[in-house]
Parts: sequence; structure tokens; C-alpha cells
Amino acid sequence: MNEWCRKKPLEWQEYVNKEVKVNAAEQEYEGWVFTVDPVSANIVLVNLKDGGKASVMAVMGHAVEAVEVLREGDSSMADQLTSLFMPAGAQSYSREELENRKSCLRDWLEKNRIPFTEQGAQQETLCVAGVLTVNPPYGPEDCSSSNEIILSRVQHLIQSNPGCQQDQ
Amino acid sequence: MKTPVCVLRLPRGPDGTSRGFDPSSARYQALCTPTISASGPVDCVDLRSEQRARSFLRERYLRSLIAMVKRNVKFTMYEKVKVDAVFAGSDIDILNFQVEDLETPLGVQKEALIRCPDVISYSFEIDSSL
Repeated sequence: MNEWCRKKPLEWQEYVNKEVKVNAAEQEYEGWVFTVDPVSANIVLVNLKDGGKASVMAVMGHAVEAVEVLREGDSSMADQLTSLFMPAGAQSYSREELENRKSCLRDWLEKNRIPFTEQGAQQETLCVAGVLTVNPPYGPEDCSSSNEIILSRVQHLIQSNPGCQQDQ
Repeated sequence: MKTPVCVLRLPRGPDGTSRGFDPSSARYQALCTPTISASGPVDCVDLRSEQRARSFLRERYLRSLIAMVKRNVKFTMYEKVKVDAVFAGSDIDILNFQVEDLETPLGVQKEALIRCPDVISYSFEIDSSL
């Protein structure tokens, strides 16, 4: 294992959103660090191009000889990198919209006699029957649980919500 | 339209057939190192922030793999080998990449497994959604 692979996840995280130059097997790679895989130490570098394209290069962790930081990225670079890979169509809701969606879901759960509690710093998470959590924006994809059966039942339930002021 | 060549069955490597428990694998090191090495006091808070960093980084990497599926990827490997293929998937430890239509000097392999320790880097193009 080389020195790069021996680093800890917190050290690797420091490189995210920075422009770096990586030396590997007598070649040099430059780009903005999107992520470093903690399992393989692979560095994923992105170079944004004109015309709405980006070229992505990943250097395998075992091949990395040296990593040099060239530049720090600002928050707009961070957003661009994140939006490259995160699912398309990710909407952002306002506070009131989120509140409405939460009340809508709460009413629907009560109607169906499903026990739930509200948790979190701003009471933003719904904890259903103690085993499933629903995060904003309270869609079927925002449920998480370790119990597949309950997960599937609650997802169907949310999907079959006749809806309040839905912003489809 | 390239005509695929028939499948070449290469002999099994020294790893044998078992998926086994490999103490020298990166995954074992990552999961068990805190309990083995005496690299300093490992307290709850450190472990929590390390795990948070680990899941942040891993999620981003998995998303980059998802974005790579069905795209043309160039692999740069040792011994000055550069090949093109269509990425199909990876295993959990990032030890093997499954690819399709691998262009080799022998012809086009319809399906192939590329060993990650043989790879130096890989690259592909993506449309930015902005």
C-alpha cells in the first residue's frame, strides 16, 4: 500500500473541491477532485469544458505517487461538481413548501392510523412506527428503513396520497 | 458495426475460486484497521466524523460509477496498454470492472472483466446538466 492509500477518509475529504495535479505511473493528471473513494483510494478528477461537457478522469489509488494541490475551489465550483453527478431534476423547495408537504404527509399518515413522531433539530424528519424515517421533501424516495417490507408499504402509501397542493 | 470475436477463456489466476476473506484487501484494512493498529486514541467522536467522511466520499464515488454505465470509457493500463470499452459495472471492492465491447488488438470482446490492479486510470466524457 502506498502513502496515498494509507491516508484516512478525513484526509482524503480535504482534497475534495480542490484542483490538483496527480502523478501516477510516469503520467500527470490535473483536474478538480470530485471525490476519493474510501475503499480503493481512487481519485475522481473533473475538468469542465465549454459546450456543457465535462471530462472525468479517475486515477486508481494503488497507482498514485504524488498529489499536489494547485487551487482551492469556491462554492460555485463545488455546486457545479455536485450537480454533475447527482440525479437530474433535483428540485429545491422553499420552507413553506416543505412545511406544506410535511403537513400533507402527516395528515395522510394520521388518516391511515400510522403512528409517527417528528424528530430532528427543526422537527424536519418524520419517524414512522419507530423503524422508518422520512426526510424532506417527503416523497417516496425520501424514506429510509432497514425493514424492506415496511419500506415498501410506506412508499406505496405515500405514492397513493391523493395529495394536497401538489406541485407535480 | 464491429463483429465480436468468440470468448477467450483464460486460465484462473492464483486467487483460486473462493471469494474468501482476504486480510490484505483494501476493504478489510478499511474496516478492521481501527481495531488493530495503535495509531492513537480512537474515541467516539473521531470515529463518527471519520465514518461521516467515509460515507460522503463513497456516495460520490458510487454516483460517479453510476454516471459511467453505458458510456465509452478509455482505460490506461500498465505495459502501455490503452483500451476502449463500454462500462457495465463494478464489484463492491472496486477490484474488477465489467465492460462490454472491449476493443483489443485481438478484436472486440463482447463481455470482459478488467482487473482494477492492472488499471492506472480511466476516463470518460459526461454532459454537465448546467
